[in-house]
Amino acid sequence: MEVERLNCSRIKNSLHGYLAGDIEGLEKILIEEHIKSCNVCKEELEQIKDMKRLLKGCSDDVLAPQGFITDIMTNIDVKRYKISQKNVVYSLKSLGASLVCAGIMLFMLNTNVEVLPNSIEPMSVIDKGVTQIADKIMKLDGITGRIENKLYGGM
Amino acid sequence: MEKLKDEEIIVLILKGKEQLYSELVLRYQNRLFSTIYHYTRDYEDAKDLAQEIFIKVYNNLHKYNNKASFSTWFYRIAVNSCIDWTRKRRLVTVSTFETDENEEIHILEHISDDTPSPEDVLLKEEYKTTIKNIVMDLPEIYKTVVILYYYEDFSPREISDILNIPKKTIDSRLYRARDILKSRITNMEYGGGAFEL
Repeated sequence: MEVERLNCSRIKNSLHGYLAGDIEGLEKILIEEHIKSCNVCKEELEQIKDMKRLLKGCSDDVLAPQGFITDIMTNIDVKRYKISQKNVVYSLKSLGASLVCAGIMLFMLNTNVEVLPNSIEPMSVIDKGVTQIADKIMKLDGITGRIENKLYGGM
Repeated sequence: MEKLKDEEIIVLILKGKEQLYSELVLRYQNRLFSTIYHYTRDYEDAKDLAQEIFIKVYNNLHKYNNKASFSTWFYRIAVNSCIDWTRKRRLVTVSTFETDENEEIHILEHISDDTPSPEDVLLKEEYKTTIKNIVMDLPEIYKTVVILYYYEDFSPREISDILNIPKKTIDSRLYRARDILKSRITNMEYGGGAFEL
């Protein structure tokens, strides 16, 4: 008896789908077999059918008005998905310009290695720069020292 | 010429053949109108809302990604628009539950012979209106599944896809909605059973 009740509970939840053609295959066969032997579920199915008949019978047959399609087509943005000829040409021009720039950059990268004359060592250039910076820092230290003397009276 | 599928028409529209959208409108206009009317209960409002939905669908065609059928995707937009419309309007329908129950019984007593008199026709129309109002009075989650299942013949699986809600939830909402409808129709006290039309 418990198993039968469980089956009824599961089947009741499937009856709307069964009536609408959602259920197929083995599940459909099992439901049909169950309904044949179960008055409760049979009654439930009939009530769903009755409710459908009642509600459909009380509903209004409403159709779209004449000229509705024309109204819609008049109000949509017909250019929204248009692939314009101008856009195609502009895209091609942009692509061309990009390719030219890429080519120039590649050319410059390939030729940059030979900018420095071979006689000059890169490290000596760096050393010279660092020495110049150090000299400037020393001079700056002297300047700040004189300013402090003036402010604090040599203390 | 072989009829194009909805999805094929969309591909062509997105390639610039926007005039083909009229074919989609033709295919869906009546069914959409019927669905919308169950929400609005007013023809002019239904017309405005239908137009709004078709334009919204057109403007979002580029977002359609073929994961669901076009029909499901279309009705998803439509039903959400109808629900939004209802919430904005906050329709208050005059429920017949507030009417005098004695008045209802008194009206029924006049339905006597088989030949429908003009009065009978009027009473039947009033009954139909009552039933429609009962549906309109349902909480929105039940009203939507009732409209889609009982009026528009969508299956629970299709409703699940449209509303993006698990099928089990749809099944239990349909079950619960039917219980509520049964109870309210019976409570109208037309002799304890459903009226045969």
